[in-house]
This record gives sequence, structure tokens and C-alpha cells, in this order.
Amino acid sequence: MPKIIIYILMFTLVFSSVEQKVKGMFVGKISSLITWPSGKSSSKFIIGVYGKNGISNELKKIYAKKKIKRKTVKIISSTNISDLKSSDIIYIAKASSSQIKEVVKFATANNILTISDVKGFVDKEGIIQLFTVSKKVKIKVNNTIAKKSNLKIKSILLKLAKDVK
Amino acid sequence: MINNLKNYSIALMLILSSTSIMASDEESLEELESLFDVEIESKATTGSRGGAIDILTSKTPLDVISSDELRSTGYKKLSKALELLIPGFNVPVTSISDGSDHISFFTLRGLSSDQILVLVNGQRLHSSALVNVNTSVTRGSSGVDIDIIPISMIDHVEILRDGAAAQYGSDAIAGVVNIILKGANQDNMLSITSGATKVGLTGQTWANGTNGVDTKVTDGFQADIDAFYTYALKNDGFVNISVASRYDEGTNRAGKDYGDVTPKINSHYGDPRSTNQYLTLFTNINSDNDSTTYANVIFNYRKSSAGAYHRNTNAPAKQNSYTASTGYLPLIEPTIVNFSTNFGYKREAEKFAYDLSQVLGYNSFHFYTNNTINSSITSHDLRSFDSGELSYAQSVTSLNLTKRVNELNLASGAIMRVENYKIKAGELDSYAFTDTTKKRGSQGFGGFEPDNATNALRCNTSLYFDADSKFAEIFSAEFATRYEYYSDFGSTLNGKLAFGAKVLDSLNIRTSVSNGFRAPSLHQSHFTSISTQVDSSGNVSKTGTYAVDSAQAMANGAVALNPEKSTHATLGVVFAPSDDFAVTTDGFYVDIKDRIVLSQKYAQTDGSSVQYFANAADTQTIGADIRAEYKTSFENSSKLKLKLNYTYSKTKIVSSTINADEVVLNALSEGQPTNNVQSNIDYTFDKIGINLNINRVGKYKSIIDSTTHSFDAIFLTDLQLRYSMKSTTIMVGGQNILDVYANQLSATDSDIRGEGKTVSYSQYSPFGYNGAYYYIRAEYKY
Repeated sequence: MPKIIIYILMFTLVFSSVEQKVKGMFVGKISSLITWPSGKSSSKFIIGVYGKNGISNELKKIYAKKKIKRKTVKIISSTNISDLKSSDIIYIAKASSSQIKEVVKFATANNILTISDVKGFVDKEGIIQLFTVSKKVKIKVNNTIAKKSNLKIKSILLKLAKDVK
Repeated sequence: MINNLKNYSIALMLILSSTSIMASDEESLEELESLFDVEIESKATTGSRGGAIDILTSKTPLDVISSDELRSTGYKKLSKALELLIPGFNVPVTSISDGSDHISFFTLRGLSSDQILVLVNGQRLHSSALVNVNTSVTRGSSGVDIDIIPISMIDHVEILRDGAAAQYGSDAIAGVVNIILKGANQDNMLSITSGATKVGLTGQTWANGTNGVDTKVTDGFQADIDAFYTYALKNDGFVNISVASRYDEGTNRAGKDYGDVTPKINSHYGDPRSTNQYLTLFTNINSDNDSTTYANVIFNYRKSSAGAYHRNTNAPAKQNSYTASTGYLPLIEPTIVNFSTNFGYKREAEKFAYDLSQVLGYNSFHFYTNNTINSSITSHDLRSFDSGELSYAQSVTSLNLTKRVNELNLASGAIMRVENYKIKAGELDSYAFTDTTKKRGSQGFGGFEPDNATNALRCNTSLYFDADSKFAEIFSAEFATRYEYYSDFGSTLNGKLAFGAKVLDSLNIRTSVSNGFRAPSLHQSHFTSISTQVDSSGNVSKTGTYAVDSAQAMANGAVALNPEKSTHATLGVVFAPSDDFAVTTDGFYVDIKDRIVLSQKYAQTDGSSVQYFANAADTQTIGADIRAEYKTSFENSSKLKLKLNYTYSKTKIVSSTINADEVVLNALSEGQPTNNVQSNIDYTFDKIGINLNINRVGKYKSIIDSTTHSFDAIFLTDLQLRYSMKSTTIMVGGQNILDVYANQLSATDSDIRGEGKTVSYSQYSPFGYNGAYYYIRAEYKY
């Protein structure tokens, strides 16, 4: 890619959120270390976003031309969980505790990986929680719920997690 | 401000270099580790009620100092660490100034130490009970002792460099310092530090030192142990506890006392000897319904010791039969206790949030004067006196409500604050005056008399409203207003307008205008330190500092204190041409009317004098802050961060009333450096880290014994080397490693103040007079 394009990208991204971009990047990298059950397969890799906090736009930018698990990526945003049934991942951007409870129950039943930066997410039976400490993004994993969702998480991801349940 | 750079070059590299996230496990591991290492932007909550904001796009200038940066300075006292990281953050060091030796009050932008609001987790931290009435640049002011919080407990510190009385109430004139305690998901940590000054390591010979013989002294030894423990609770709740203990041996840079029979070094002039014990706790209990019950406790117990002037044998009025042939050095050794707690309940729903909290704060400053006598009472050997106690307590009850409607954030709240200020008399012997041919009271620090005892109470209620919104993606604006009622002086209404515009993707312009106020402290209204004098004819008079509502003060022109009123304007530009480089420039203007200062000493016909606090000066401060930061990563995974900060801040006296003290006025306009430059280089390669600071502290002046003394600008160099293993980091470093001293006072006729004399360095010194200090620290995280 010509250098000028890199510079243009860097200029235009200056005042946008680095935190959101890093979290968006985590979604793809984490996905590469997770195995979904064989029955869960479609031509596209679908990331469902529940709630609004800007992550949806960030995911669309990051994965416009990038693939996850050799598949093109489709981003669906909705606050109606039935719209997200075909998702491989549901990213919960913003939700109340009762909404989280509902979404994770739905995701577990449908072999969907749940990711969120909502406080206490893994305690609310979410699978991957992103959190920030000392200006760096870290992860927690609820492997018990991952197993219940028939998702297999590679050991290297578990080793990098701050906390594994 | 190094925090505000946006380093996502690694993430960007990943985006640009890979079109498919399908990699081997090793590659995935490497890429994930790279992502874990990306430093995200600094965010702050100070100055905005709409949640955390990116400090580069904020409408008012903000600094965020991380715990890593605090630790990289090598200092264990928060005030000194911030002085190294924030230009214009001044921690003047005084000595032989009674209580002022024992607390490091700080200033910002050359203003007074009581013109800064200090918050802990967004809630007001109590002021010290001490008001500086002796020789220090903050004479006439109190302040907040931020050194009561151990650095291990601090997540980061936010500094709002703008007036914010319309948002937070009284005191937020020079700015707001918001100390954020560590929250969830932290590592446990144990830190042990030990160090000493160069004098302490190599020794220094005092010619004609103690008792007139050559003496080799060592000083400046410090030891500190600091433990942080976190216990995780459900839903990212936590209980964090920090326990710390620190010993400072103190230093002595006194010169000779030419008033002694044989000129010699007989006094203490330097840092006090002190011990500090800390216990800090912070907990969040998060429920399943998005509510949080929180509490923090800050406790600090300090024993400190510093000298007064030596009582020489050729001053018989200060001697008794036990001391007549030897003289003595009185020691002022206060016990200082600070306690603060904040507990509350908050709930954050998607569009509505509330926070009900209660703060209780207390400081006791109990004077003990040791190794001294009261020469006017029956002869006794050197002994200790309880010289009285100052105390200050506050209770702050607040309810804050916020509501979000699309891009509009609305906030309002009500706060009630009750303050109590007390002066408690010392024991009878500490102020007794029996033999009127001698001197009154315990020498070094005469005790507070029963006439000085005070118990002042004040109630303050306030209501605020704040609206903050974005427009058309590139504009943002904020309006804030706050009404306050104080039971002693009445009401104030303050407002603030702030505006930000992202004119280019890499260029942000910000501006604000506001008015503000600082309520006269209860200390200033009620501080009383009067001593009884009896002349040779038996006539009794009382001399000293009087409360403004006393008959003596009013007879000499005192009137009830009114609040200081301020007007603020800022204009700034943020230029971030790449993710690795950013420059911010902010100009500021602060106009303060009716500044409260100590009056001159009014001579009375009976030989006594009367002094009091008065609204006696109007000042204007103009200045600019420039911050430049650059950081980069190299192919060998090493990282380099550079920053260069400059602050210009000049205060001029616009007008003053006849009763203002000349020395105090001079301190307002000339007593602090106008130009400060700070540069920092931090380089990390694998397990090794190097942190280098080279700072220029500008020149300043002080008036001593009617003579103006000028102090040159100097450069100070600090260096830290780090070696990190898996869980342990060893740090070796030094502050002022080139062992630079400021120039001494110029020559004077005084026996004790001037070049080579007891007080040979300025009592306004921004960096002290200890020379080089070296330390080693081990940190263990798990």
C-alpha cells in the first residue's frame, strides 16, 4: 500500500477512539482461536452487535475487506436478539443486566460466542470480557459457558486471559 | 500528558498487513500479545459529567498522569511526583516555619495553595487544618495535603487546568486535581524503597559544626514499604487495600549562626524527620441490577520533627539555670492525623444515572514542642510541651443526577457541606508567662492560649446544572452553572461556557470562559494566635494574629471576609498530525478580585502588634501551557517516549489595599517561577527501561528582612534505570543526580538569614536544598 495512503489513514484516525479499534481487532483475533461446532457454518462470518456504543461502525471499518476464518465478515446491529440468531459472535455493546442475561441465554443455546466490555460480563455468563487496566485492554474468559455453548477455546487464549472461570 | 498520545500503530500495522485473520497459533499468540500491548488513549472524568472523555478532544485542558508515570519519578510523595510531571505544579519547600515545615502544600500556575480543588474519585478531599502564617510562599493560605495517599493506591491523577467553580464550587480557581484510586482487575503489589541524599551516602563535614567542633554528618536516609492487595468480588467488584509505612530521616543544610557566641552551625534547616503510616481502602460492590455500593477510607498518621532557631546562651531571656551555659535547639514535633471516607450508592441505567454519596474528612494538627523550656516559669530541664491543636472537619452530602438524551448530556445535583475549624489551647506551661523578665511560653513554638481557642462552624448548600452536547459531529459545547449559599458570607452564582471544534481531523480548537470564587476558609476567618506580653513595668499586652471579627482586628480596619472572585478564559489548540505525535497549546487568563492575604502588622501604642486576614489584593495571571509528545516503537520491540512541556505563568498585582503585607504581596507576584520547562525520555527494551527527566525551574524572588533576594533558574536532572523480570522490577535512580544547589541568599546584615548563615537557601525554594538523592526500589507484582 502506498505510504501516502497509510499517512492519510493515520491522519483521519487521529481523533477517533483507539480503544474501540483495539477492541474491534480483538474480536477477529479471538475468533481465530475458537472452534465453533461443525453444524454452525455459513458462507459468511457474522458478528452481531447488540446495543449501541460505536463499536458497530468500528467493526464495519475493520472487517470491510478482512476475513475471519477465511470468510467475509458481515456485521448486523440490532436490539432484537432474534435478528442475531445467525451470528457467530454477539458483541454486546451496551445493555442492562437483564438484557445481558437474556442475550447470553440465547447465545448459549445457539452456540454463539459472546463478547462485551460491560462490567462483570463473565460473571453474568458472558464468555469473553474485554476490560481496560493501566491503559491496556485485557480479557477475561468464562470457559465454563464456552463449553456449555459447544465452543472450544484454544489454550493460548486461556493463557493470555487475566482470569479464567 | 504522555498518556494522551494515541499509539495504535501496532493495531494499524495489523490492519494494514493482514487481509485475513487466519493465522497459526504462534502468529495468533504474537498478534494478540501485540494487541495487549497497545496503549489506548487517556480518558478523564474531571470537568465533564457525561462520563469519561478523551483528553485530546476535551473542551478544557486536561492532564492525566498514570500510576506508571508516578512510579517512574522515584518519589514516594505524590506532591513531589506530580511536580516532576506537571509544569507549573510547584511544591515549595520551607523550613524553620513552624507547622509549615511538616506539610507540602502545592500550587498550580503560580497561584495560591488554597486556590486548587482536590478531589478523590470526584469527591472533595478535606483541607489541612494548618494555615501558613510564617515564612513560606503560600503564607496566608491553607491547602490540601495530598501526600496522605500512597502512590500504590492511585490509578491515575487527572488535572483540569481551568477554573471550574461553576462545576465543583469553591477553590477551583487554578484548577482541579482529581485523584482516582485503583479499581477492579489490578495486580497485588509489594514495593520496598530505600535511598539517601548524596550527603547521606558520602558524608559532609561541617566546619565548626554542632557545638562548634568539626562534625561529619550524614542525612536524608529514606525507607518505604508499600503493599497493595486486591480481592475480587462478583461483577468486577473489588476490595482494594493499601498499607504503607515511610521513614524520612530529614536533612540539614543550615549554615552558621553568627548570632551565637562563637559562630557555628547550631540549627536545623532542611526537610523534617518524619514517619508516616498509611491505610487506604477502596471497595465497589456491584449488584446484578447495575447498581454499585462504594466506599473508600484514607488514613494517614504522621509524626514529624523540625527545628526552630537555636536559643543561644547570649540571649539570657530565653534561658534558665539548666540551659544558660549550653543553649538549646527547640524542636517542633507535631502529630498529624488525616482521615477521610467517602461512601455512597450509585446506579447507572442506559439513559439515567444517580449517585448519592457522603464524604467525611478530618485533619488534626497537634503541636508538640520538645527539647525546649519555658524560661519564664520555674526552672526545669529541657522538656516537652503540648502546644495545642488545630483541627478541621468536613461533611459533604451530595446527590448527582445525569440523564442522556441522544447527544445531549444533562446533569444536576445538590450538595450540602458542613465545616468545622477548631483551635484547642495547649497545656498551661506552653504559654505561661510567670517571670516577665524572661520570654513567654515554650521556646520555638509557644502554645495556643485559651483566648486563641476557636470552634467555628459553617454550612454551605449548592445546586448545579450542567448541559453538554455535540453538534454536527465536529462541535461540542458545555454550559454549567452553580448556585452556592454559605452561612457566613451569603450566596454566589457562577457559570461556565466551553466550546470545542474539530476543525480538521488532526486539529482541535477549544475555549472556555467562566467565573468562579473561593470562599474564605474558616482558618482565615478565625485563626487566632495571640501571645500575652508583659513589659518590665508589668503592663500586659497581646500581640499576634487576630480573627477578623475580633475587636482588636476591627479596630485596626478588619472587616468580615468576602469570597475571592475570579474570571477565567482559556483558548487552546490541539494538533495531532499522527498517532505518535501531539502538541497542545493553551493560553489562559485568570483575574482574581479580593484575594485574601495577611495584613501588615499594625503597631499598637502598648508595644504589641495586630495582624489579621483581609480581602486586600486584586491580581491578574496570564500564561500558556505547551505540551508536546512523541512516541514510537522500533523493530526490536523497544519503545521510546519523549515529551516536552513548557508553562509560562505570570501574576501581577493590579491593586492592593493599604493593609496588605508587602512580603505577602511580593510572594503572590514574584515568589514562584514564571517559566518552567520539563523534558522526559522513557526508553524500554525488553527487560530494561530508562527514564530521564531534565527540568528547568525558572527564577523567582523573595523579600527577607526588607531585602529582595533573587534566585536563578536552574536545571535538574533525574534518572531511573529499571530491570523487569517476570514479576519483579528493580529500579535504581536518582533525583537531581548532578547534585545542583540553588544560589544562596545574598549577603545581609542578619545573623541568621543570608549567604552561609542558618537560613542560607530560600524558604520559597520549589525543589528544596538537599542536593542529589539516590534510591533503589524493588517491586513485586502477583
